[in-house]
Amino acid sequence: MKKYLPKMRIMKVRHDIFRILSRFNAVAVTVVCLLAAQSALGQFYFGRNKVIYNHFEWHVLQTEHFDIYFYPQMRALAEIGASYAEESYLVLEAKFNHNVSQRIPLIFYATHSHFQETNTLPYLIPEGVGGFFEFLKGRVVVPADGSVSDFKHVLRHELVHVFTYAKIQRIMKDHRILNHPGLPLWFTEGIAEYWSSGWDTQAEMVIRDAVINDYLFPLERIYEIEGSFLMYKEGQAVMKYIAETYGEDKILQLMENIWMSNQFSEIIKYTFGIDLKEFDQRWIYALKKDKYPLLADYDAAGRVSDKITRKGFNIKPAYYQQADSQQIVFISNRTGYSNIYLAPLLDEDDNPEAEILVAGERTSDFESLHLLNSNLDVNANGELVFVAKSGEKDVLYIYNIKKRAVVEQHLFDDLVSMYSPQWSPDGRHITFAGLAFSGRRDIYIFHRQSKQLLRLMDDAYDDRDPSFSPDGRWLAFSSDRGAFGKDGYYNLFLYDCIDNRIFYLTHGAFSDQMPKWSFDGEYIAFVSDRDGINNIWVLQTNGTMALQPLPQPSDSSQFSYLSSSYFATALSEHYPLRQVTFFITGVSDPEWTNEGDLLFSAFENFSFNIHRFNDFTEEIKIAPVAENDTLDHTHSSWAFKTIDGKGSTKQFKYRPKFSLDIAQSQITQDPIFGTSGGAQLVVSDMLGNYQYYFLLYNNARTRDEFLSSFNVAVSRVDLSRRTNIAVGAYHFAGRYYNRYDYWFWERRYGGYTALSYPLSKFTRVEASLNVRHSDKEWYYTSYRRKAMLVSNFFSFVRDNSLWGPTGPLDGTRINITLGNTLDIAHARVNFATVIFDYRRYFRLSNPVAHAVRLWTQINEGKEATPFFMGGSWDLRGYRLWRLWGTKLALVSNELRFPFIDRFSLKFPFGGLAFSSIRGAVFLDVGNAWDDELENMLGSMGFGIRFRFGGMLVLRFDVGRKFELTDLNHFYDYQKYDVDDKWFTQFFFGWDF
Amino acid sequence: MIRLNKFKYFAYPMLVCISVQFGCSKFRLKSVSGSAEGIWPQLYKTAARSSCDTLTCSFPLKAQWQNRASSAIGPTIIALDHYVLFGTLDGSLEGYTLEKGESIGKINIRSKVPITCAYLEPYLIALRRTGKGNLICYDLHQAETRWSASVGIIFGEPLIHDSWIFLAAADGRILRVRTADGQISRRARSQARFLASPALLNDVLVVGDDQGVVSAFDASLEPLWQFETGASIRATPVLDEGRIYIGSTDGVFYCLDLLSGESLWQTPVEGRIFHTAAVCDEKIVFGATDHTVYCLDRRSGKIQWTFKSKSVIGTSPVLTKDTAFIGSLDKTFYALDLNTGAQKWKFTAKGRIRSNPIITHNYLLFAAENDYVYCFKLNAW
Repeated sequence: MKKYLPKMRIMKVRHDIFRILSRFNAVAVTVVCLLAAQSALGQFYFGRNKVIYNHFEWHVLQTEHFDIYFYPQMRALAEIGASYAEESYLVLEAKFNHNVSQRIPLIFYATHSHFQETNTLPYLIPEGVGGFFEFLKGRVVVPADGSVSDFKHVLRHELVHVFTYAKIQRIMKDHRILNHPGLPLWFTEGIAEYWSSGWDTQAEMVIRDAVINDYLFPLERIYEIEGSFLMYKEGQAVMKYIAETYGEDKILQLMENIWMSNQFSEIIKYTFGIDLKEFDQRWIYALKKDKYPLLADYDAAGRVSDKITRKGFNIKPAYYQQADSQQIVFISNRTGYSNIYLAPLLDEDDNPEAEILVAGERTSDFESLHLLNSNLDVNANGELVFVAKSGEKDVLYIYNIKKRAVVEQHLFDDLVSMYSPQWSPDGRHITFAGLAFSGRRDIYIFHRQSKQLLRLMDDAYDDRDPSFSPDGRWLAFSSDRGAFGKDGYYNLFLYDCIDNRIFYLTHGAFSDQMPKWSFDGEYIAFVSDRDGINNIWVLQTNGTMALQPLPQPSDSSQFSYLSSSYFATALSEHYPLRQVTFFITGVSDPEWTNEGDLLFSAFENFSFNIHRFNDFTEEIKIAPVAENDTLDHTHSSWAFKTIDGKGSTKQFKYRPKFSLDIAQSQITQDPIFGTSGGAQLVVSDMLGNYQYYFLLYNNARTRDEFLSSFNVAVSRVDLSRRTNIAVGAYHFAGRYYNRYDYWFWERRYGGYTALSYPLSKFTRVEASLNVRHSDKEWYYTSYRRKAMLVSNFFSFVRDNSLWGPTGPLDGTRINITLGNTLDIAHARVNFATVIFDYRRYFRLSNPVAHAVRLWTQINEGKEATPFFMGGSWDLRGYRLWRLWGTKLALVSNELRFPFIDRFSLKFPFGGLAFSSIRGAVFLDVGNAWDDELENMLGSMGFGIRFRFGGMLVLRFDVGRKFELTDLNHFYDYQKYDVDDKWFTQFFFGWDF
Repeated sequence: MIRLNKFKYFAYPMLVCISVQFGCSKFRLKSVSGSAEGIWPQLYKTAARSSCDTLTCSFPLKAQWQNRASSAIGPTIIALDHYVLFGTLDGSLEGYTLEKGESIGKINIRSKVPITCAYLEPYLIALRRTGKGNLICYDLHQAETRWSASVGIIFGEPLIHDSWIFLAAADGRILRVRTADGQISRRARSQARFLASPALLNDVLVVGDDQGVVSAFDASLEPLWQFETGASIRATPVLDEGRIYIGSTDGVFYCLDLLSGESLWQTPVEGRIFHTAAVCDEKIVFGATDHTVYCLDRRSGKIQWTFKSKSVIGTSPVLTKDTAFIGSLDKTFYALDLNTGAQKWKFTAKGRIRSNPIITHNYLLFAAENDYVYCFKLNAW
């Protein structure tokens, strides 16, 4: 899954569920916990929250092959998507020589913020995920972000996955193959990208960088970058190579031959007649042949400009002059969290320290800073303007750099997201691109004093990157409203703020973006991919914009989608156009300094960093003049194709219909517990808003027990609104064992309800009520007890932790739970529960953290249930859950650090790669007791954690146990009785 | 010669019980007709791949029987007088009686590899796509394996002509195998890989490869000429009256001279062409991925008519004097008027139609992805 670069599409959802727990999991875990009547599992009761801010009124649009789910505000976009989906279906049918026999559900969201609220996946969806196809119900879920061409691209990408899945399923079925690993991820993502966008600027940028900087992974070793963005792009590059060298049909043959072997390397051999190694050599050689010659005419950005930043991703520079010193403000994720930094603009070798101005991704005010999607700006008064996601929508913030404080924040009812705010020269206005609830993105101007928001356009075209001219009259911006926009190209336009008219600034089948005026208004620098990669181009305005009107076209209806008339502008030799940079990989975010230097972000070595091009204006003067764009006067504006009225379509309001998600059965045999067998089912509706869980099993040991040993549970979970609600009923009966009660038999039947209300992405409150009849008999004492138990729990949970490969490295996690269990029939049970679990992670350096855990659990009262501790997850060195008592306490300290960055083992038949093997030094002190704490137990030692297969963390600890019996002298180390022997402990599970 | 009549009343139930062997069990069909009418012995019937029959049909067709095979059916059904045989995609051969659709047994090769078959009296030639000894000659009269040979990976199907078997291999070889003893008597080599089956007429062997090249060889497999198309060729060429008719995945249908390879005409269509055409009288019929069945005039290549189904055309057609039969991935099998393209009849199965139809005696047979074989009577009388 992509982590850093924009808009990754994923096929299989490969989330680390332990890392990114949603409130759904919190509810589900609550369900499990209540049903099992056990204390909450220490690993899972934190997690961030998926907050449902909007209750969408879903409708369904049925076309020939699709069921499209949308909400009324985005109807126009849904109809465009429907038309494109049908068009894509025909294209893919021919490419795959196959069709999809079931109807395909498409679920559209108008904005990415809305998309993040989807319940079709239980996990939190990061900003970098552009859409997905999930297998359970065959759903394709796609967000828009203002750009119709991006929306279409993602849609087709996911449909390629749908067809791939259908084709492979058919082949497996035909050949009666039950167990097959399927196509490798690089292949499925590569084909999805290649058959949706061909070869694009972004792919060219990444692959050029990988080849030139020698970090391209051959297919033999591509498992080492499994799931990464680089893997996606390499897959796309392989598809391009196959299509160009062998023909596109070879890609289809690779799929059709999948049955021939479990090893994809064998499939390559069957299909191409050469082995994987040879294929790799040929493919990589072809890439080198293609990319190396570029160095004759292009340079690496780091070779011809000053690299200002070095660590992590650093992007979106904003220049700021403070008295005599030059500063830059930028966004970086160098610590793992995205923050806004301030740093002096010094020479390359000075390597200045950057100061965090705004800490992102830890609080609900700055949930996301839109690392790659939104620029910053600083005005002459030292006020920084930026956008951050805060709850339901984006907020426009004004931050006073001198005061180091936010001084204003603005939220607009109609706008869900905002991008790239820019100051007017007088600091009284802010312009930005705003994304409305409908999914349309247009340019806005906000007047700071009156708080008025002016919308400049109101149409389906995507408008972005606005930038004021120094005299404040003009706005330069990028838009797909030009004649080439229907093919996904963006050109530059000018908006006249006085006459309210729009003018062409550039025109052609390429993408021009991010225009920026120089301080003197002499130049407009922008990013263009005219030569196949993003470089900086400059239009020389000579300080004026003399406009040349054209006759109005006779058919005015062709402008029905435009709010303004079009005239030719700088499309003449009077306004020279020049390509100034010739960087081999991509650049973006041009930003002028007042001394004529240019700052920009450059992509190199798979990272973004900020560079400075000194004396850029001098560089412009010597750059050759390029041929000016020309305006094809006969080219009419374009309209979006919609499904409306075409073919057989139906629309109706959505009503939940349920289908099976999971059905599994299981039989277990245990020497102590005997045999049990059962089944579990999960059903949900298409949108994932309503879920039902059914559990049925029997653990009878004799025929007589069969009826009485039935265990059944039914739960209903409602995730459709901000408050998640679960209700359920259950009957459990059987033999149980724990070291406290020994053997006992218990029947419990009753019902429960649980609520989870997220206060923000990081914080939530939970409540539950469980009423059950309990009939319990202890074998050891033959004592039998009946009770009508009512349990109430209330929890406060906060989690803003940042995770490393094996556990959290930064942030905080808190769970405070209060509860009470009472026998309302016989007063035989009555105990109160307090749980306090506080975990704090102090970041000492990027990969090193000191983790502290303070944990106590108390059940106090009649028949108080004991807690268990011991084992690798809490008090290390002691056997798993061998310490118990109605009270427990633990303090853990752990220093976490990298141990081995990467090592790989290569076998003749394949290889294994291991990365991020981490080390830990720990000290745990705690105990469990009933009445009186007599001693404290502890352990200290070191350990290794190793993440295996992306999900499982293996842990190995070595240390020595100790005991303190004289609690009054806990400070005296001589009072500690340390074991002579070293213990070793091997287990699995995340760091606390 | 055929001796079925003697065993007629107990042979059928006996055949059900007979175990079969290609290496492990026996399969005995003593009663196989030599009459041309009842034989559809290989892919597209003849070495020239004509797929043309002289029957006329009356509609609607009468359903004769339908049977579910044990697994997915491969692209080819063959007819041996009163029996139909086909290979499955997981490595077995199955058969039914033609008239009643009664099972005559199953040969499970246990190879989990697709298998196809062809018939050259008295031999049943079975070809596994991969594996050692993957070309097997089974003597139906003697009920024994005569020989087996390792011929490499073959994506296409065997071509039977005279006493030879011709194969186009994935590694670029063209093989000529003697049916008497399985000896590979000739090999030709190409740089490309063959995915399609060859065709043969007047001692000229023609085959297309995955680089889009149509190659011709003489009877000794010496290369004669080559012609380049724009993309890979999956279809088998059809040879008729000194001409080659072949479609390419570049979306163009080609007519070439058999002896020189010169292009006589080319007709572009909207979709890609994966399947073989059929030629009857002056008409060529084929299907493409744009849901369309095309009929061209075979002299000029002009489009005579088109017919649009609801999905990709999944099979090659089979033609009679007045009808074109063809299947689509929309799960429908169509009968079209050969002169106008009008739909005369259709049958909707429960699975996509991917197996090529055949006509034998008075019956039409085809298979669908739901593992069913369907048999219809072409004429009520």
